[in-house]
Amino acid sequence: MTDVSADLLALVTTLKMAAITTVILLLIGTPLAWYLAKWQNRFKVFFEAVVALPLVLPPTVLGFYLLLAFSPTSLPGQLWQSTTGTQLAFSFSAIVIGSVLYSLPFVVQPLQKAFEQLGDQHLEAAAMLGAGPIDRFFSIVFPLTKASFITATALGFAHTVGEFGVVLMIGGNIPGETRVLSIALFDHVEAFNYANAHLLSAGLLIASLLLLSFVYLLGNNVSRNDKQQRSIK
Amino acid sequence: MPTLISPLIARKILSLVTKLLAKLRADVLSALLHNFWHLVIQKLTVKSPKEVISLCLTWLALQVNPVYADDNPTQQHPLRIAVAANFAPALKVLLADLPNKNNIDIQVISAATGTLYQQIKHGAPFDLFLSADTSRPALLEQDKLIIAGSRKTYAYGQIALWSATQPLSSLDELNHYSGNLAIANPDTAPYGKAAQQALKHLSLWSHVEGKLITGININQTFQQVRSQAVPLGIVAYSQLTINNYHGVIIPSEYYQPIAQQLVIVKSTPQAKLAQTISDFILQASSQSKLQKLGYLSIIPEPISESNMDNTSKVERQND
Repeated sequence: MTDVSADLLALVTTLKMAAITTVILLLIGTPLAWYLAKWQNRFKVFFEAVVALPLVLPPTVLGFYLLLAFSPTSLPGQLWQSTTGTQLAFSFSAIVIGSVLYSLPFVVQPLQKAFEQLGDQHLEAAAMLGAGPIDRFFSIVFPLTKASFITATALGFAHTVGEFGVVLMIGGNIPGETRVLSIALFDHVEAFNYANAHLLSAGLLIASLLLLSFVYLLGNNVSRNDKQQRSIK
Repeated sequence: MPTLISPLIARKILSLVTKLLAKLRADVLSALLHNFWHLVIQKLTVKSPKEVISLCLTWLALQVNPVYADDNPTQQHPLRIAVAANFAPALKVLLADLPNKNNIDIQVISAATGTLYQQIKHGAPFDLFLSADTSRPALLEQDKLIIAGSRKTYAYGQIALWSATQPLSSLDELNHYSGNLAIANPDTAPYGKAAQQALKHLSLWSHVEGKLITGININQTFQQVRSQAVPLGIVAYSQLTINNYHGVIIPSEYYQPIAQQLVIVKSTPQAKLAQTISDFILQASSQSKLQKLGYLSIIPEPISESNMDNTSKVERQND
């Protein structure tokens, strides 16, 4: 396998990992952010801290504990093995689980902020008119917080693409399975292949810049539209 | 490490759960697939929010469902060789001459020896492990994680004095050198330990001790000298040959041999192929190529070499 096709394979693995992670994060992060935004309890601070933990925790700490948990000799590792018939440590599933935990605050926090700023009067009115919770969410909450959903999706995706420490610990650098771009880049630097390292680094840098510009552009447009609509009303 | 749950109980509980899930999955999946095609037909013009969720779920189910996933256990994976970073370039050169190489699917995975050791200990699906030392393979042998009798020395590392700024003629230059000297950490890196032994042999240790820049491993030491952050250093000779640099080889009798050992991981589904590759690396033609790549062969050189050299080779064989 040439270096370039190996890097392309790493790119595919990375995009797949980031896409799956982002979808899972939106599915579990949205209700989580909702409860964190609406829940009034003195233990709330603790749960907020748990969600925010990956922001300050060294990824290798998370990777180390996950490695122990996913190992075939540990309880979660054994449960996974007997359920699916495959080993969890050093598999694609393992790095997706790791990424979900690691990117959680990047999806939950923007959503939580948006939900907190949302007034209750529209929702109460809709409830009085007989709209169910799912209908209320998609007809009122989602359109009003669209910009935050875009931010959350992009941040979750981009942060997962840049994932390194966790994958290094629990991935095992297996081509086509757990070798993602950041690991391939690390390999090139270790092997003194600076040409390939430059190619990957520059590629990631430009892609990240484009993605963020796109998010800000979209975010600006959405909020401008919102303002216009509000002023028309 | 003792198992935390009896495999029998785990299997009983989980077969129940699995059956339930399988039953659910078939129904849910067909429904989801139906929704999915429904959406595709509508050219992805999403009308109801429920469809967005079902589309996402369908896609997830397809990705996560083990039946469709890549890590299908019945499917044979390529032969995975985990190799210490310093030997990875040399291994790639050797494998290029592997007979029948087009019919064998090989993945080379390189990292620090310690990292690879930890990963194998926690069940990494590697087949062959080429370590940079003898201690990690020995530990794996103690843990009964390797195929009995597969632990073999495949090469000896060499060290060399090198500067990226000026050409060196001999080791004597160290005598009147007063700047910083880069070596790998003697406490953790085999190449660093060898550098320390050589410096002690030359009675230069006290002369340089206060001016040592110790890299975390030999790769870092090489980087430090190559970037000219440190003017002079003791690096692996293989790093110089592969990158076409010229340094002064430090005679192998000045330090204990840097033996590098390989093992075949016990959990490999391809023990026979792993054995073939192991034999290939150990065979005479590969070993003579290793010498050109900056390593010392495990096969003693012909007697035409100097006597001193031969005695050190014999010692090495007894290691």
